Amino acid sequence: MFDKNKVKEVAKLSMIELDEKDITYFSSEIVDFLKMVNQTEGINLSKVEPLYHAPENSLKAREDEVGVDAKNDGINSAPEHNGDHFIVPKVID
Amino acid sequence: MDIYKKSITELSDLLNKKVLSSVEMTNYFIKRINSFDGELNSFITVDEENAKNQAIKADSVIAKKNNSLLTGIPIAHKDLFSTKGIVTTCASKMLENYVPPFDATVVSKLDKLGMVSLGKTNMDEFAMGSSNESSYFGPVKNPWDLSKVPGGSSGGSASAVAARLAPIATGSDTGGSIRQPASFCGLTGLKPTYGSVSRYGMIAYASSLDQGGPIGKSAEDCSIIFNEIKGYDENDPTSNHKIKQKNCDLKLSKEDAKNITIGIPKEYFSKDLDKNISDSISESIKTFEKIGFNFKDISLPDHSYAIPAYYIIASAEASSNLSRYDGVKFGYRCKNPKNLEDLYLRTRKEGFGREVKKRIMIGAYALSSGYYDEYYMRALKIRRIIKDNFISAFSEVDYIFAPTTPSVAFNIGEKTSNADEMYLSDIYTTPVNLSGLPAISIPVGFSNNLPIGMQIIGNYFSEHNILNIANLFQKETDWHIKIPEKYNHE
Repeated sequence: MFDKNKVKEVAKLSMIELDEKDITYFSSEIVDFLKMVNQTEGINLSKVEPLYHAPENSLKAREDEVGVDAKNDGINSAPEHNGDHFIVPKVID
Repeated sequence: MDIYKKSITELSDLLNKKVLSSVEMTNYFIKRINSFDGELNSFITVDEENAKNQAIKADSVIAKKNNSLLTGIPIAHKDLFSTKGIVTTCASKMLENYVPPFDATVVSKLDKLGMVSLGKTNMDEFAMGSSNESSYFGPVKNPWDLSKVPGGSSGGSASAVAARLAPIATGSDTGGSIRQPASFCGLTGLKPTYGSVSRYGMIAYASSLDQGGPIGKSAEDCSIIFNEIKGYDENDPTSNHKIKQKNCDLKLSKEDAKNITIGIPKEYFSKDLDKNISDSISESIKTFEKIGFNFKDISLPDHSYAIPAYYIIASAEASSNLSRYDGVKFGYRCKNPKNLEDLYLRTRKEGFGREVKKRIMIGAYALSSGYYDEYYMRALKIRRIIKDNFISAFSEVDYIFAPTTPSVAFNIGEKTSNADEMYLSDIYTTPVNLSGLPAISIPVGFSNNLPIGMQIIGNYFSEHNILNIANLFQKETDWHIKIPEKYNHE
């Protein structure tokens, strides 16, 4: 059963803080969603293989070489940075 | 001169004949945006300076006669395509001030040809929506009726092209997000085969489903853009590298049509389909028959299971993709975090809208221990069945016709409090995404002055032919050149 405790648990997994109003809202929304999903319970899938990706076995990896990329510019997109370092709250006291 | 009505080829002709310059053409469309977009809200960002600089550059290329068909032609990009130096928000507070340090491959390919980017179009937040009501920057209106939604998630692109604020736009289609807004706005929208168009620089929602493509006034315009954006890209490991797709030349003849059989799946024309839509598609089939195409009734069972399977798979992938928004590397950061955990929790609480939070949580739940088999694995198995049903149908027929949507554009606010009903508006589009197939939506009529769309679904990498079939129909009909009255003037 997807009750308010389950919403809190999933919100923690998702790293999203919720207030009481949010918990009530998402509990009702997700219960309704799961009712829709549960309409598929009648299909027999025991002999069906899962399909993760429509074009199966077609991925191509490129050589692991450093190219012209944006990594040096990327740091400038950080909300807080110091030269080449991201700034985060203190982790170790 | 009615520049706003012109096709890409006609606009290019005007530039080549020096009837007007790219700078003048760009100013013309920017003026239309400034005049009309206040009520439509189809653009999040209009970068006039960048557009004019690109147009000046295009004019010098045209003067040297080094231009392509697309040099100097304006385009609008959905705001999930990364644009170097131009804010790319994905319609989210999370990325409100994000300026990418690189261009998406789709953007860079069109830039290199000299296209002029007018700006970035509004959309559902992180492409999660079917009505363009989940944007942090407010809902987009449908130019055919301002009380209606334009569809989503590429609603800004569709609204902008329908009001002729841009000659063409890019969009992305994860569960119908090109075809559904194209249908609601009376446009032509192509969702290419998964892997045809590079996803590099497209902000990810559901990586095994997302695919970029054009939304335009006609199949001809869409084919011109598709020819240029398709192709292998080593920066996207899921990009197709096996099949070399030929350019679409729009040379299919009525004689060729006699050798083509189109399937009509009975399950897609059930009682749930709006009668006016069903009637318009029946009428359009008569036109296709006159052209020479053959038709056959077929069965595509289980398509209604695509909705639950799609929303589980897409949400699962979203929960993983959107974990990157942590307030550290880029995007929004909450104020005065007490510690690292507080930073993550509050950044994501404050940065994401409700629909995005809901899908992240559904995804996390479906992937979590104890529920993985019950939800995620079942959805992947249904995905297999849906793909196999299409493969089986394509052993009987060459192409498939289907409605794009079960209804025409609905009222703004009508489905926001009933998510399941909103999700059902994707019932005819999601099976194509789950299977990775190409499909185009073309306008085939009106119901209460609102456009009706129909899909032409093809086998893998058959974009060339579905664009040709759409083009043959558009040579015989005028649905695609209808313009909302309010915007049908200079």
